[in-house]
Amino acid sequence: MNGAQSVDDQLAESFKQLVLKRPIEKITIKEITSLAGVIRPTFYNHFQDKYELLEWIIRRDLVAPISSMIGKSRSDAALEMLFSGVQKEADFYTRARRLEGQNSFESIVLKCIEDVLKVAINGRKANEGILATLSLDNLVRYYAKSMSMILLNWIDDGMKRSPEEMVRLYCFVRDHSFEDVLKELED
Amino acid sequence: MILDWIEFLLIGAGLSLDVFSMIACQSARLAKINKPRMIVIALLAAGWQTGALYVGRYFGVLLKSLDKRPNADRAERLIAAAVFILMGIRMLWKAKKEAQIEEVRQEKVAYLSVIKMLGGITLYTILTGFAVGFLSASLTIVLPIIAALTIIMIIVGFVVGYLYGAALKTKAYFLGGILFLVVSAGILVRYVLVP
Repeated sequence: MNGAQSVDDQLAESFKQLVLKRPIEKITIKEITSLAGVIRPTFYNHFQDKYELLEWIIRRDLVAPISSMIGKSRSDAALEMLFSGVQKEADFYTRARRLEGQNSFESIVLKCIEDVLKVAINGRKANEGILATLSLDNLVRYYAKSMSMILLNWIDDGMKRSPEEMVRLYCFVRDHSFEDVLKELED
Repeated sequence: MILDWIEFLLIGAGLSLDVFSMIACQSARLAKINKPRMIVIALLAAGWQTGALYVGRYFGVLLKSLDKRPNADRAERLIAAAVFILMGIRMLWKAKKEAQIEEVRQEKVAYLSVIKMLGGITLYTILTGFAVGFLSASLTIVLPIIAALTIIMIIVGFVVGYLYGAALKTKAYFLGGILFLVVSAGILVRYVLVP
Protein backbone atom coordinates (compact mmCIF):
# COMPACT_ATOMS: atom_id res chain seq x y z
CA MET A 1 0.00 0.00 0.00
CA ASN A 2 1.36 3.44 -0.93
CA GLY A 3 0.40 4.97 2.44
CA ALA A 4 2.23 2.25 4.40
CA GLN A 5 5.27 2.38 2.12
CA SER A 6 5.66 6.12 2.54
CA VAL A 7 5.69 5.75 6.34
CA ASP A 8 8.40 3.08 6.01
CA ASP A 9 10.42 5.48 3.86
CA GLN A 10 9.89 8.33 6.32
CA LEU A 11 11.10 6.18 9.21
CA ALA A 12 14.06 5.01 7.13
CA GLU A 13 15.15 8.55 6.23
CA SER A 14 14.71 9.69 9.81
CA PHE A 15 16.81 6.74 11.04
CA LYS A 16 19.56 7.49 8.52
CA GLN A 17 19.76 11.10 9.71
CA LEU A 18 20.00 9.99 13.34
CA VAL A 19 22.71 7.43 12.58
CA LEU A 20 24.87 10.26 11.25
CA LYS A 21 24.68 11.91 14.67
CA ARG A 22 24.80 9.07 17.24
CA PRO A 23 25.53 5.35 17.61
CA ILE A 24 22.66 3.08 16.62
CA GLU A 25 22.58 1.58 20.13
CA LYS A 26 21.71 5.00 21.57
CA ILE A 27 18.97 5.87 19.09
CA THR A 28 15.46 5.52 20.52
CA ILE A 29 12.26 4.78 18.68
CA LYS A 30 10.82 8.04 19.97
CA GLU A 31 13.64 9.93 18.23
CA ILE A 32 13.06 8.07 14.97
CA THR A 33 9.31 8.70 14.98
CA SER A 34 9.60 12.34 16.10
CA LEU A 35 11.94 13.14 13.23
CA ALA A 36 9.67 11.23 10.83
CA GLY A 37 6.65 13.19 12.06
CA VAL A 38 4.63 10.21 13.30
CA ILE A 39 3.58 9.11 16.77
CA ARG A 40 5.76 6.57 18.54
CA PRO A 41 3.44 3.54 18.40
CA THR A 42 3.33 3.83 14.59
CA PHE A 43 6.84 2.43 14.47
CA TYR A 44 5.72 -0.96 15.76
CA ASN A 45 3.07 -1.19 13.06
CA HIS A 46 5.91 -1.27 10.53
CA PHE A 47 8.98 -2.72 12.23
CA GLN A 48 9.76 -4.99 15.15
CA ASP A 49 12.72 -2.87 16.28
CA LYS A 50 15.35 -0.50 14.89
CA TYR A 51 17.50 -3.43 13.69
CA GLU A 52 14.67 -4.62 11.48
CA LEU A 53 14.48 -1.06 10.12
CA LEU A 54 18.21 -1.17 9.34
CA GLU A 55 17.72 -4.49 7.56
CA TRP A 56 14.83 -2.99 5.59
CA ILE A 57 17.06 -0.09 4.49
CA ILE A 58 19.80 -2.47 3.34
CA ARG A 59 17.31 -4.57 1.40
CA ARG A 60 15.64 -1.53 -0.18
CA ASP A 61 18.79 0.40 -1.06
CA LEU A 62 21.40 -2.27 -1.70
CA VAL A 63 19.80 -5.66 -2.31
CA ALA A 64 16.63 -4.90 -4.27
CA PRO A 65 18.47 -3.13 -7.13
CA ILE A 66 20.74 -6.16 -7.70
CA SER A 67 18.47 -9.10 -6.97
CA SER A 68 17.35 -9.51 -10.58
CA MET A 69 20.98 -9.48 -11.76
CA ILE A 70 22.22 -12.37 -9.59
CA GLY A 71 22.22 -15.70 -11.38
CA LYS A 72 21.79 -14.15 -14.83
CA SER A 73 25.52 -13.94 -15.64
CA ARG A 74 25.57 -10.44 -14.22
CA SER A 75 26.73 -11.25 -10.70
CA ASP A 76 29.91 -9.20 -11.06
CA ALA A 77 27.93 -6.15 -12.21
CA ALA A 78 25.55 -6.76 -9.31
CA LEU A 79 28.44 -6.80 -6.87
CA GLU A 80 29.80 -3.54 -8.30
CA MET A 81 26.36 -1.98 -7.91
CA LEU A 82 26.30 -3.19 -4.30
CA PHE A 83 29.63 -1.52 -3.56
CA SER A 84 28.52 1.65 -5.37
CA GLY A 85 25.34 1.74 -3.32
CA VAL A 86 27.33 1.59 -0.11
CA GLN A 87 29.76 4.23 -1.37
CA LYS A 88 26.86 6.55 -2.23
CA GLU A 89 25.95 6.68 1.47
CA ALA A 90 29.43 6.14 2.85
CA ASP A 91 28.84 8.08 6.08
CA PHE A 92 25.74 6.11 6.99
CA TYR A 93 27.22 2.69 6.29
CA THR A 94 30.52 3.53 7.97
CA ARG A 95 28.64 4.35 11.14
CA ALA A 96 26.22 1.44 10.81
CA ARG A 97 29.25 -0.85 10.45
CA ARG A 98 30.10 -0.12 14.10
CA LEU A 99 26.97 -1.94 15.25
CA GLU A 100 28.07 -5.06 17.12
CA GLY A 101 26.47 -7.81 19.13
CA GLN A 102 23.42 -9.95 18.47
CA ASN A 103 22.05 -7.58 15.80
CA SER A 104 25.40 -6.60 14.31
CA PHE A 105 25.66 -4.89 10.94
CA GLU A 106 27.77 -7.81 9.81
CA SER A 107 25.05 -10.36 10.60
CA ILE A 108 22.37 -8.25 8.89
CA VAL A 109 24.44 -7.79 5.72
CA LEU A 110 25.28 -11.52 5.63
CA LYS A 111 21.60 -12.44 5.99
CA CYS A 112 20.56 -10.07 3.20
CA ILE A 113 23.21 -11.35 0.77
CA GLU A 114 22.40 -14.97 1.66
CA ASP A 115 18.74 -14.37 0.97
CA VAL A 116 19.37 -12.91 -2.47
CA LEU A 117 21.66 -15.83 -3.39
CA LYS A 118 19.07 -18.33 -2.14
CA VAL A 119 16.44 -16.74 -4.35
CA ALA A 120 18.79 -17.09 -7.34
CA ILE A 121 19.39 -20.77 -6.55
CA ASN A 122 15.77 -21.50 -5.66
CA GLY A 123 14.23 -24.47 -7.41
CA ARG A 124 17.50 -25.60 -8.93
CA LYS A 125 19.29 -28.79 -7.98
CA ALA A 126 22.29 -30.76 -9.08
CA ASN A 127 21.53 -34.23 -10.39
CA GLU A 128 25.09 -35.40 -10.64
CA GLY A 129 28.67 -34.37 -10.02
CA ILE A 130 30.17 -32.84 -6.93
CA LEU A 131 27.34 -30.34 -6.48
CA ALA A 132 24.96 -33.22 -5.93
CA THR A 133 26.87 -34.13 -2.77
CA LEU A 134 27.11 -30.57 -1.45
CA SER A 135 24.54 -28.83 0.70
CA LEU A 136 23.36 -25.88 -1.42
CA ASP A 137 22.60 -23.93 1.76
CA ASN A 138 26.23 -24.26 2.87
CA LEU A 139 27.43 -23.28 -0.58
CA VAL A 140 25.24 -20.18 -0.56
CA ARG A 141 26.56 -19.31 2.89
CA TYR A 142 30.15 -19.68 1.70
CA TYR A 143 29.64 -17.23 -1.18
CA ALA A 144 27.58 -14.87 0.95
CA LYS A 145 30.27 -14.82 3.66
CA SER A 146 33.01 -14.13 1.14
CA MET A 147 31.04 -11.27 -0.44
CA SER A 148 30.09 -9.73 2.90
CA MET A 149 33.62 -10.13 4.23
CA ILE A 150 35.13 -8.21 1.35
CA LEU A 151 32.41 -5.54 1.61
CA LEU A 152 32.88 -5.07 5.36
CA ASN A 153 36.68 -4.97 5.11
CA TRP A 154 36.34 -2.33 2.41
CA ILE A 155 34.13 -0.23 4.70
CA ASP A 156 36.58 -0.72 7.59
CA ASP A 157 39.39 0.41 5.30
CA GLY A 158 37.61 3.71 4.59
CA MET A 159 36.42 2.69 1.10
CA LYS A 160 39.77 3.76 -0.34
CA ARG A 161 39.49 1.58 -3.46
CA SER A 162 36.82 2.08 -6.09
CA PRO A 163 33.91 -0.36 -6.43
CA GLU A 164 35.34 -1.59 -9.76
CA GLU A 165 38.69 -2.37 -8.12
CA MET A 166 36.97 -4.21 -5.29
CA VAL A 167 35.00 -6.37 -7.70
CA ARG A 168 38.21 -7.19 -9.62
CA LEU A 169 39.81 -8.15 -6.31
CA TYR A 170 36.88 -10.31 -5.32
CA CYS A 171 36.76 -12.02 -8.71
CA PHE A 172 40.47 -12.78 -8.55
CA VAL A 173 40.15 -14.44 -5.14
CA ARG A 174 36.96 -16.24 -6.17
CA ASP A 175 38.43 -17.57 -9.41
CA HIS A 176 41.88 -18.61 -8.16
CA SER A 177 42.92 -21.31 -5.71
CA PHE A 178 45.38 -20.71 -2.89
CA GLU A 179 47.98 -22.63 -4.89
CA ASP A 180 47.46 -20.25 -7.80
CA VAL A 181 48.10 -17.35 -5.42
CA LEU A 182 51.29 -18.96 -4.12
CA LYS A 183 52.52 -19.45 -7.68
CA GLU A 184 51.86 -15.78 -8.40
CA LEU A 185 53.74 -14.66 -5.32
CA GLU A 186 57.49 -14.41 -5.59
CA ASP A 187 59.69 -16.25 -3.11
CA MET B 1 0.68 9.49 64.69
CA ILE B 2 4.10 10.72 63.66
CA LEU B 3 3.55 11.32 59.99
CA ASP B 4 0.89 13.54 58.52
CA TRP B 5 -1.07 12.72 55.36
CA ILE B 6 1.27 14.76 53.14
CA GLU B 7 4.18 12.57 54.20
CA PHE B 8 2.11 9.46 53.48
CA LEU B 9 1.46 10.88 50.03
CA LEU B 10 5.18 11.41 49.49
CA ILE B 11 5.98 7.86 50.63
CA GLY B 12 3.19 6.50 48.44
CA ALA B 13 4.39 8.55 45.49
CA GLY B 14 7.96 7.35 46.01
CA LEU B 15 6.87 3.70 45.99
CA SER B 16 4.57 4.26 43.02
CA LEU B 17 7.24 5.95 40.93
CA ASP B 18 9.22 2.73 41.19
CA VAL B 19 6.25 0.86 39.73
CA PHE B 20 5.72 3.61 37.12
CA SER B 21 9.28 3.24 35.83
CA MET B 22 9.02 -0.52 35.53
CA ILE B 23 5.70 -0.49 33.70
CA ALA B 24 6.81 2.35 31.37
CA CYS B 25 9.69 0.12 30.22
CA GLN B 26 7.22 -2.67 29.44
CA SER B 27 4.73 -0.40 27.74
CA ALA B 28 7.49 1.11 25.58
CA ARG B 29 7.44 -2.14 23.60
CA LEU B 30 3.72 -2.16 22.83
CA ALA B 31 2.16 -1.46 19.44
CA LYS B 32 -1.19 -0.98 21.17
CA ILE B 33 -2.42 -0.72 24.77
CA ASN B 34 -4.98 -3.32 25.77
CA LYS B 35 -7.11 -1.30 28.20
CA PRO B 36 -8.75 -4.21 30.09
CA ARG B 37 -5.32 -5.79 30.60
CA MET B 38 -3.95 -2.46 31.80
CA ILE B 39 -6.74 -2.20 34.40
CA VAL B 40 -6.13 -5.76 35.59
CA ILE B 41 -2.41 -5.05 35.94
CA ALA B 42 -3.15 -1.82 37.84
CA LEU B 43 -5.40 -3.69 40.29
CA LEU B 44 -2.91 -6.54 40.61
CA ALA B 45 -0.08 -4.10 41.38
CA ALA B 46 -2.23 -2.13 43.85
CA GLY B 47 -3.19 -5.33 45.67
CA TRP B 48 0.40 -6.56 45.71
CA GLN B 49 1.85 -3.28 46.99
CA THR B 50 -0.79 -2.79 49.69
CA GLY B 51 -0.35 -6.40 50.76
CA ALA B 52 3.43 -6.02 51.03
CA LEU B 53 3.07 -2.73 52.88
CA TYR B 54 0.54 -4.29 55.26
CA VAL B 55 2.92 -7.17 56.02
CA GLY B 56 5.79 -4.77 56.67
CA ARG B 57 3.66 -2.51 58.82
CA TYR B 58 2.36 -5.51 60.81
CA PHE B 59 5.91 -6.53 61.77
CA GLY B 60 6.86 -2.93 62.47
CA VAL B 61 3.94 -2.49 64.86
CA LEU B 62 4.64 -5.90 66.43
CA LEU B 63 8.30 -5.08 67.06
CA LYS B 64 7.34 -1.67 68.40
CA SER B 65 4.91 -3.22 70.89
CA LEU B 66 7.63 -5.60 72.16
CA ASP B 67 10.18 -2.86 72.69
CA LYS B 68 9.64 -1.50 76.23
CA ARG B 69 12.85 0.54 76.53
CA PRO B 70 12.50 4.15 77.74
CA ASN B 71 13.96 5.73 74.55
CA ALA B 72 12.39 3.21 72.21
CA ASP B 73 10.38 5.85 70.30
CA ARG B 74 13.48 7.82 69.35
CA ALA B 75 15.33 4.68 68.18
CA GLU B 76 12.31 3.53 66.15
CA ARG B 77 12.02 6.89 64.41
CA LEU B 78 15.73 6.81 63.64
CA ILE B 79 15.35 3.34 62.11
CA ALA B 80 12.34 4.50 60.09
CA ALA B 81 14.30 7.51 58.82
CA ALA B 82 17.21 5.18 57.94
CA VAL B 83 14.85 2.94 55.94
CA PHE B 84 13.58 5.94 53.96
CA ILE B 85 17.16 7.13 53.37
CA LEU B 86 17.99 3.64 52.07
CA MET B 87 14.95 3.75 49.78
CA GLY B 88 15.95 7.21 48.57
CA ILE B 89 19.53 6.18 47.85
CA ARG B 90 18.33 3.05 46.06
CA MET B 91 16.10 5.03 43.72
CA LEU B 92 18.75 7.68 43.06
CA TRP B 93 21.19 4.89 42.23
CA LYS B 94 18.67 3.41 39.78
CA ALA B 95 18.29 6.85 38.20
CA LYS B 96 22.07 7.13 37.84
CA LYS B 97 22.40 3.64 36.32
CA GLU B 98 20.23 4.74 33.35
CA ALA B 99 20.20 1.32 31.71
CA GLN B 100 18.77 1.53 28.21
CA ILE B 101 15.98 -0.91 27.42
CA GLU B 102 15.80 -2.91 24.19
CA GLU B 103 12.84 -1.49 22.33
CA VAL B 104 11.54 -4.64 20.65
CA ARG B 105 7.85 -4.96 19.86
CA GLN B 106 5.82 -7.18 22.15
CA GLU B 107 2.15 -7.93 21.76
CA LYS B 108 1.20 -7.51 25.41
CA VAL B 109 2.54 -6.99 28.90
CA ALA B 110 2.49 -10.48 30.35
CA TYR B 111 1.00 -10.93 33.83
CA LEU B 112 3.96 -13.12 34.74
CA SER B 113 6.45 -10.38 33.91
CA VAL B 114 4.42 -7.92 36.03
CA ILE B 115 4.50 -10.38 38.95
CA LYS B 116 8.27 -10.79 38.52
CA MET B 117 8.68 -7.00 38.49
CA LEU B 118 6.60 -6.60 41.62
CA GLY B 119 8.45 -9.49 43.24
CA GLY B 120 11.68 -7.60 42.65
CA ILE B 121 10.51 -4.61 44.70
CA THR B 122 8.51 -6.48 47.36
CA LEU B 123 11.35 -6.44 49.89
CA TYR B 124 11.61 -2.65 49.62
CA THR B 125 7.84 -2.22 49.99
CA ILE B 126 7.87 -4.47 53.07
CA LEU B 127 10.75 -2.42 54.51
CA THR B 128 8.78 0.75 53.88
CA GLY B 129 5.78 -0.82 55.62
CA PHE B 130 8.05 -1.75 58.50
CA ALA B 131 9.15 1.87 58.85
CA VAL B 132 5.57 3.07 58.57
CA GLY B 133 4.63 0.63 61.37
CA PHE B 134 7.40 2.04 63.56
CA LEU B 135 5.88 5.48 63.04
CA SER B 136 2.44 4.29 64.17
CA ALA B 137 0.82 5.07 60.84
CA SER B 138 -2.87 4.35 60.54
CA LEU B 139 -3.88 1.61 58.11
CA THR B 140 -6.98 3.51 57.10
CA ILE B 141 -4.78 6.32 55.76
CA VAL B 142 -1.76 4.43 54.43
CA LEU B 143 -3.34 1.58 52.48
CA PRO B 144 -5.85 3.60 50.41
CA ILE B 145 -3.13 6.11 49.53
CA ILE B 146 -0.77 3.35 48.36
CA ALA B 147 -3.53 1.56 46.45
CA ALA B 148 -4.76 4.72 44.71
CA LEU B 149 -1.32 5.99 43.80
CA THR B 150 -0.25 2.58 42.48
CA ILE B 151 -3.29 2.37 40.21
CA ILE B 152 -2.76 5.91 38.95
CA MET B 153 0.96 5.36 38.32
CA ILE B 154 0.40 2.08 36.50
CA ILE B 155 -2.05 3.74 34.10
CA VAL B 156 0.18 6.80 33.67
CA GLY B 157 3.19 4.51 33.20
CA PHE B 158 1.40 2.57 30.47
CA VAL B 159 0.49 5.71 28.57
CA VAL B 160 3.83 7.47 29.03
CA GLY B 161 5.83 4.39 28.04
CA TYR B 162 3.61 3.80 25.00
CA LEU B 163 3.86 7.40 23.76
CA TYR B 164 7.35 8.41 24.84
CA GLY B 165 9.27 5.21 25.50
CA ALA B 166 11.27 4.62 28.65
CA ALA B 167 13.04 7.98 28.60
CA LEU B 168 11.17 9.33 31.63
CA LYS B 169 12.09 6.45 33.92
CA THR B 170 15.33 8.14 34.96
CA LYS B 171 13.45 11.27 36.03
CA ALA B 172 10.86 9.11 37.84
CA TYR B 173 13.52 7.25 39.81
CA PHE B 174 15.24 10.53 40.64
CA LEU B 175 12.01 12.11 41.85
CA GLY B 176 11.12 9.02 43.90
CA GLY B 177 14.52 9.10 45.53
CA ILE B 178 14.16 12.76 46.44
CA LEU B 179 10.70 12.19 47.91
CA PHE B 180 12.00 9.46 50.24
CA LEU B 181 14.92 11.63 51.32
CA VAL B 182 12.57 14.56 52.02
CA VAL B 183 10.40 12.35 54.26
CA SER B 184 13.44 10.99 56.12
CA ALA B 185 14.79 14.53 56.61
CA GLY B 186 11.43 15.60 58.07
CA ILE B 187 11.48 12.72 60.56
CA LEU B 188 15.09 13.33 61.55
CA VAL B 189 14.58 17.05 62.06
CA ARG B 190 11.30 16.80 63.96
CA TYR B 191 11.78 13.71 66.12
CA VAL B 192 15.41 12.64 66.25
CA LEU B 193 17.83 15.54 66.00
CA VAL B 194 15.75 17.96 68.07
CA PRO B 195 16.11 17.08 71.76
